[in-house]
Amino acid sequence: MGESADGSGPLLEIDRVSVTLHRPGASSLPLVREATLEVRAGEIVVLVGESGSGKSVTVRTLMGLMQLDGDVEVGGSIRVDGVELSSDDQFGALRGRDLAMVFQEPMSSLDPVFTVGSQLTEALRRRGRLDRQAERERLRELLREVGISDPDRVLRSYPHQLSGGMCQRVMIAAALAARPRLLLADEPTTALDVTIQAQILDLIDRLRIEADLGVLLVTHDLGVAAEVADRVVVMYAGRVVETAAPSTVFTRPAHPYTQGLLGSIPLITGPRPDRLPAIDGSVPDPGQLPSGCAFHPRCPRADAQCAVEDPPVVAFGDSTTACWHPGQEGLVAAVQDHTPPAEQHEMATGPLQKAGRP
Amino acid sequence: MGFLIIKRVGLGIPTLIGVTLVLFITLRMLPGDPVSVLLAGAPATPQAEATLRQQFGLDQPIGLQYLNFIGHAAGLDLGLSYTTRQPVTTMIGQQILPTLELALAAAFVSAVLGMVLGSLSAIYRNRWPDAVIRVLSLLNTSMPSFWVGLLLIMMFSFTLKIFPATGSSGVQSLVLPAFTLGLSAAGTVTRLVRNSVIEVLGENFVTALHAKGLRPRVIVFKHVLRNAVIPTVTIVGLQLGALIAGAVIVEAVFARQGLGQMLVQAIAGKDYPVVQGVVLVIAVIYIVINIVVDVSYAVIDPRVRTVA
Repeated sequence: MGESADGSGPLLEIDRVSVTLHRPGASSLPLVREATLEVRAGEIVVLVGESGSGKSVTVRTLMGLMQLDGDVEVGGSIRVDGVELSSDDQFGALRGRDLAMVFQEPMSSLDPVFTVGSQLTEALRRRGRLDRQAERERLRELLREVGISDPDRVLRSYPHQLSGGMCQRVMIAAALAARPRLLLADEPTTALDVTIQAQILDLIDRLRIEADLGVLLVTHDLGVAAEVADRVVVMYAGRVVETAAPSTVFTRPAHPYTQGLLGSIPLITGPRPDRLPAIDGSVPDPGQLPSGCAFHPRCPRADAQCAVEDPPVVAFGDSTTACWHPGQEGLVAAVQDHTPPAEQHEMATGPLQKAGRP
Repeated sequence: MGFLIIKRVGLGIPTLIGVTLVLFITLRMLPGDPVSVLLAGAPATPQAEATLRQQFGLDQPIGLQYLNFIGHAAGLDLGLSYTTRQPVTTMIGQQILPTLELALAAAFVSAVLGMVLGSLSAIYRNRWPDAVIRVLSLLNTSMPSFWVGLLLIMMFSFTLKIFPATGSSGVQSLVLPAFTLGLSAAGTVTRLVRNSVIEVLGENFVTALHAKGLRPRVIVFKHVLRNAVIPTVTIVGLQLGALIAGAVIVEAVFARQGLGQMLVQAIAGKDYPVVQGVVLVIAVIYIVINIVVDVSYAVIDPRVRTVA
């Protein structure tokens, strides 16, 4: 953490952030445990993990949204531009201005009873009022920016009159309306079909370059991670288990969980396996976390120590990982033998994103 | 939209036929006979009785009586009252305004109280304001309106002397009956609005609005309430119908003029045409309110607007 080589600090740093949900009459749930990550301007960091791994909670915590619920306790430090955020007011002042967010379900993320135009205007006014004419013009411009060719029709429409892809473009436009510096995208393409998915990712990547936007993208889709990530952060059971560049994550992952994830991706090339390899078992419920390393009951490398003590975060090769036994040992054959998915995606989509990167 | 209204009016006709048919048969099954009630006390010859019976058309078979009634009602003629010998339509015309006034004022009271208390309850859910509101609304729902009416009279008429206890002239005399009747419905509206607001607060778009940086007050009063009101409109509308029926009791408690008083007297006096007329009018009002509710959906919910 701290200052980088070129002198500019990270846009967003979170340091050992924990999120705990207190339930009256029941034990508290540790939703996120000491998560650490950072996002710099002009960089896309992809947060991956299974459902229930705490990805969405982490992102909502960064926006101060989890904190709105009185039963949620947040520990650790969240800094934007080096400034520590703790009070609801501090988060409230940044939300919709420096921090913007796009959600998983575009159709249900817009208020059904107001027009798109009126909802975008609200977002725009977070940076002060303009006169009506100028506002209208700015909205048209925003919608064109996100690839909507008939902005006037869309502005007059209600959300139910638009497709999912359109709604997501509108959500992105709303997020961009106040010219944020950091975009948090919580599975923005999961509810969309594949072609729209590619367009939306393309759009986010273009905005990253044009607006020098820092992006934290949450997904459970490793293909998406391979396509756009500058850095990949892998979460499991509320912990960050590995952080590394995509080339490292996809070829030399240090954590056995990351390796398991890679092993379960079907490959287009090579012989077709009878059965897709999967990680045995399932993500533990936050109410019933195993002792020691939360992954140990599913881990091929687990030993006595793993069952007792949660591993510290250590550097291993090009990765930072939380594991007692980091390494490539036991890497699933499919990954070693065939082209890594990162390169496959580049072959499939051409020199899509990598050009023009700072 | 026009099509929607025509369809709803069309569906109202079988409803009206059902209501009048049931009423017609029930009235004639009740013990007691209009002619003997009317002639009670006076020494009546069988001949005089037969004349009256013939005059009222009660000597005809019940099916024919019903068809006559329907036929005349279609021409806005509800017959003559047995007791006053006045046209029923005229009598209703004289009494309907105070009742509508009372029902509308009560609906207003219940809607406003229900919306405000329901929203507060939802926003502070499981904290003390919510607990207080829930206990009060349960208490209020469990109290019969004649009892609430008497309590209000004791407090505001006898002790504080702010509002008159009885009468039906002016706004002053409307306040207590309107609150009595409105309170009986407010509990239901409160619970409904509470559930509805809680449901909307859990919607994805509310999180998205927070993420957009809108102030919580704007989110609740502009976005959440507007969405939560949609299911509430139906209930308030349906309750307006129930309030007109409830007016019968409240009018009796406050000795107010109105359809309710008229209906009570007509039932006691076996005045078939008046009972039939009043019930028919209430049924028509009920159906009209339902149509208005359906149409108002289209005004507040753009999703319905496109379909209709």
